[in-house]
Amino acid sequence: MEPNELNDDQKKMLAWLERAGAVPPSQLLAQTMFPPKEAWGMLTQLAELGLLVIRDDPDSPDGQLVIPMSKPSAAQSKK
Amino acid sequence: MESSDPSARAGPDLRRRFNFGLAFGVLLLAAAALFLVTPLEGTGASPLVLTVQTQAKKGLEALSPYLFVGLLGAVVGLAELSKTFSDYPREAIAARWGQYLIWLNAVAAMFAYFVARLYTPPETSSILLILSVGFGFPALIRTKFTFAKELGGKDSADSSVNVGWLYEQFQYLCKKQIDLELMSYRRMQVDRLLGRFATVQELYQTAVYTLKARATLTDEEETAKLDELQKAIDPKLPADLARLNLGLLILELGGVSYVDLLARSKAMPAATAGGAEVSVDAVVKELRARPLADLQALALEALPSPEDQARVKALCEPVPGIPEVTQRASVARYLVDRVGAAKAQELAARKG
Repeated sequence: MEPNELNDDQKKMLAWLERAGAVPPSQLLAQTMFPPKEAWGMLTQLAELGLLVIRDDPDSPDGQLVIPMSKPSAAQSKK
Repeated sequence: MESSDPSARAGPDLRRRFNFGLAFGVLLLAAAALFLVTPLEGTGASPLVLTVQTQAKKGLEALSPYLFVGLLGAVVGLAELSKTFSDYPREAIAARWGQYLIWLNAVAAMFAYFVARLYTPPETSSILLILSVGFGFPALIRTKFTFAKELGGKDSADSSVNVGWLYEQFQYLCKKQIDLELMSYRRMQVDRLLGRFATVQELYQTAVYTLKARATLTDEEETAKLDELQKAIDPKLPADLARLNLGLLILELGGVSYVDLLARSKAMPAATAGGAEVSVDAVVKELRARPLADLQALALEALPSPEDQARVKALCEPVPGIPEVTQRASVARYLVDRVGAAKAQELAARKG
C-alpha cells in the first residue's frame, strides 16, 4: 500500500501523531477515539509502511514510543 | 548572571577562556602606545627613561613591518580555523591549540617576510611586501629553499630546507588537537542537554522543533538533517545511543547558545515550583504499576459519564498484540487526562 492510498482513519491517526510528535502508544490509545483493536492494527500497518516508528523507550510509561516519520517534502513545504 | 546548571561550571568554557588574555593584551598595548607617543623631552624625565623611549621607538620602527605581517598571518590563521571548523568557529579559536595555530601563522608569516626581505631589492615598497607576504605566506612558506645544488645530479641530492613540511606538520597537529578538544566540548554540551531532557521523547520533540525553527537551512540541508533525525531514532538502536544521537543533532542544529538556553529554561520551572508540581508522566507511571482490574475499577468509579465508562471498558478489553502494560498505561493516562494528575494521585492513594 502506498502512503497516498491510506484510508481516512489512517490519515487521521497520522495527522494526530504529526501534531502530537513522539508519544507512548498508551497516550495514543487514551487520547484518540479509535477502538483500541483498530488503533493498534493501524499503528502496525503505518509502521510497516515506514510512516512511523515504534521503538523501545525505557522512560515511556509502557516502555515504547511511537514516532511519526516526517517526510522531507512536508518539511520543505513550510519554506 | 551565573548559570544554575552545575555542569556548566564544570570543565573549561571555551567561549569564555579567550577574553581574559585578550583584555590583558589590549591593556598592555595601550600602556606601551601611551608611553611611546607621550613627548617626554623637556618634562624633566630621567635621561634613562628618555633613552628607553628613543630606543623603543627605533626598535618599533624596525619591527613594525614584522608586526604587521604577523598580524596579517594571524588573520589568515583565524580565517583558516573558521573555515575548517565551520560549525564551531568561536570555540575552535578559543581552544588552546587554536591559539597555537594562530601564533604559528603569525610567526610563519614573519619568517616568510624575513626571507622575502633578504631576496628582494632594498627599494621594494615595504607596504607592498607586507601585504603580499601577509596574505601569501602559506604559499611562500611551502617553497623549498635549496641552498646547495649538486651539479648534474638528481633533485634528491640537493641540500635544501623544506620549511613548508614543518609548517604543515605542526598545522596538522594543531588541527587534530583542536578537533579532539572540540569533541570533548561537544560531549560536555550533549551531556548537559541529556541532563535536562532525559527521555527520547523530549529530545525528539526538541530536535523536530529546532529543525523547523531554523530559517537558513537549504532544502538539501534540511533533508539531510531529517535523514539524520530518522536514523537517530532507529528502533534497532538502544535508547541510550538514540538519546546521544538526538542530543548531538540538537547541538549541531541549534549551536552552543541554544543548548545553554534549553538547559536554563528547563531548569527554571523546577526551581520556581519547588518540586511541588505533580508530573503527568510520574502519576501515569505510578498508576500503571497497579493491576488492570484495580485500575479499571478506579477509573470507572472516578468517571461516571457513559462515554467515559464505555471508553475505559474498551481500553481494558484484551486485544491480541497490545501488551498488558500498554493497556494499564492507557487507562492510567485516560484517567489522568480526565481528572488531572493531582486528583488521580489522590484517588489512587485513597483507594490504597
